[in-house]
Amino acid sequence: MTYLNQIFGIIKKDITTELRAKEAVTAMLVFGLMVIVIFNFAFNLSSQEQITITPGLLWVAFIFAGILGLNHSFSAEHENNCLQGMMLTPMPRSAIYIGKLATSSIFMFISEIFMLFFFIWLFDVRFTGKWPHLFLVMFLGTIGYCIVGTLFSAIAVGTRVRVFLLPILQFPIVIPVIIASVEATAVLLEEDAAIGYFDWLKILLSFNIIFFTVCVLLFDYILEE
Amino acid sequence: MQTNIPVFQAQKLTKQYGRLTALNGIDLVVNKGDFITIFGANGAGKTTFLKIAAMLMAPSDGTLLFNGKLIKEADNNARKLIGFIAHDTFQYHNLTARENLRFYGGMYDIRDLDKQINIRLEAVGLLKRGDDLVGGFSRGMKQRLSIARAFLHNPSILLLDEPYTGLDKNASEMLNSLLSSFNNSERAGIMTTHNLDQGYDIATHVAILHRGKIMYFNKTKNISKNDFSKTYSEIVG
Amino acid sequence: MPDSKASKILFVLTFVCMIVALYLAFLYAPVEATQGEVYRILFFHVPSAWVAFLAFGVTCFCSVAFLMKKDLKWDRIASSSAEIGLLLCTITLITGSIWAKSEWGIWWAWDARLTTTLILWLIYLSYAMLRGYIDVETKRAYLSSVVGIIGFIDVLIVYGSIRWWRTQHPQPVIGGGDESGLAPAMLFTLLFCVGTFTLLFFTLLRSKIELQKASEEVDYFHKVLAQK
Repeated sequence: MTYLNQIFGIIKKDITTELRAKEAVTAMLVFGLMVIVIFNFAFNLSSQEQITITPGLLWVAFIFAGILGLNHSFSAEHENNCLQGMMLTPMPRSAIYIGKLATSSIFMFISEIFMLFFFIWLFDVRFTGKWPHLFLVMFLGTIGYCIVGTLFSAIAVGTRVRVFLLPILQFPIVIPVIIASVEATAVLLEEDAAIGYFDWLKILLSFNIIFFTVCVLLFDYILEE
Repeated sequence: MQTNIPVFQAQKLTKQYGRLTALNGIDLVVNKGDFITIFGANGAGKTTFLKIAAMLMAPSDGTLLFNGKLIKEADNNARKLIGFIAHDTFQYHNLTARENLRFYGGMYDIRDLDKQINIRLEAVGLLKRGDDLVGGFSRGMKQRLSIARAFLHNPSILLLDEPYTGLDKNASEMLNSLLSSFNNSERAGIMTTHNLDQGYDIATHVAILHRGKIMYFNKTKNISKNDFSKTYSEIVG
Repeated sequence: MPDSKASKILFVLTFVCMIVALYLAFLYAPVEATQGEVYRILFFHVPSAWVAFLAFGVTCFCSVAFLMKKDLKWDRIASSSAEIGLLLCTITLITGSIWAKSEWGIWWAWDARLTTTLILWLIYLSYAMLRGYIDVETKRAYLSSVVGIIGFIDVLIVYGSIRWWRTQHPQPVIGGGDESGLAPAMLFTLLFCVGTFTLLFFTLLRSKIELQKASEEVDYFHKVLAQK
């Protein structure tokens, strides 16, 4: 019970801070919007091309925006050395990881939903009747992205350069997440029944399970000196 | 006197960063009621020693004992015995004083947390500012809040790492009086500082750490402040 | 440099095998019926790809060993191996690209093996960059070990998901099953070259580790002098 309380303590703290300062979600949302608008000018798509490129475009916006949120996740703890403050308490290191993972995922997911609204408005994309499917992909994809991202965020703040190291570490590792999320989203846009949708979910799910286990085990070592 | 188990004991603590030796065989015994101030120049190993004592890092060699119990891996029960105050405040500027305390306090099993928070805020004179954001606090107020945080779970040993950094004279005096009021025969403390003017008066013992070794250790009642500062400059140079 | 007897023997053996491998690759192995002489790049492309993956496996293994034993010796092996792996991975990409150009008329194809190798190269690169950005030896060892382990596991998943991705988007199969039709003399040459490159890897690894030790020593004296 204590363990869960400690995790919820971190989540509550992060949400209170976010509600007050609105740093992470706003930054992600605005940045994601910029990406979408720039894409529109970069490709100048016809309406038929839009449909084929939509899933990729959507996820590129999510992924680039997500980096901002993840960077913020541990650099907020770095200020005033709060991370060390948490390490002083009798809370297992893994609780810090899981708490931060939860809040990064929540913030990223919320900004994704806003981005999705704008996207649909601007590009006239129709996910008719497949909303739960879409949200499930977004949910699993976001968690997978944050599972490694939270760990790398903690790694990046331990270095001299902090901010720009995170995307360099993150992008090659999350390629399976990107492939599976984009493909599963693409399947949902097709007219016929969704073929292969659940296969892609399986890949996402196995990525999440494998890396969640690995990251929980490895997180302790990141805080070592 | 009854047999006394030391609150904290370090045996042959060694820490190496690659080939560099930061600590070279530290032995220290701290009993209830002791307040030890460790003086040393920058790079002498003070912060490393306190970080190991607070279980923020593992020693390369040597052992730690809390209340006579050997600590093997980072031990979460032993962490409950420690209160830590550093020059970093560990505070979130977007949270109020009370929220900060509730966050840290929530990581311990504290009965009646809100009541405890009020008692501690009162003690450091911040009860009226409890619901203000920490971001608007002065350096001295933040450090007082740090003291409240460190005492929240009623620790049996207090570790202080350069607590005077950035405090003006008034705030330093306030810190000293707070520390002496919290200090009693039930509690022990270890403080590090590089400043001879501060930290001597409230100590029961003084030590000098130089190049990873404790070069001098004595009770304050056995040596005057002047003599001690002479010894210090002889050792540190 | 203090060279042990074993590393001298290893060096001589690698050198002799290299000469033999060159002979086998350029003179002994017959000309391929359809591709002509160009196919001989295979004898360098495949072994360097093999060593690139082997090296990353070694990095992962030694990273785990470091986290368990906390002995910097393991970190030295892990980082040295990664550096050699990065070099061999670069060679793999370059030779592969040259081969693709002459064979298929394009420099690059996004097939599973090529793409996985490219991603492996990117992971190696981020590992190397991370190491460059951390000054404290022990901290560097901990953080890069974690990246080494995650990177290795990820490469396996990347390969699986890209293969799947390709089956969903059928493309003209390129480069598929190219080893299957090898004549016995070619196969022998290929295996010999793989063996030689493996020896080369261990030779390079040994000298890289020695070099690293020497540079750590210089660093140490620098710091000691700076303190005085």
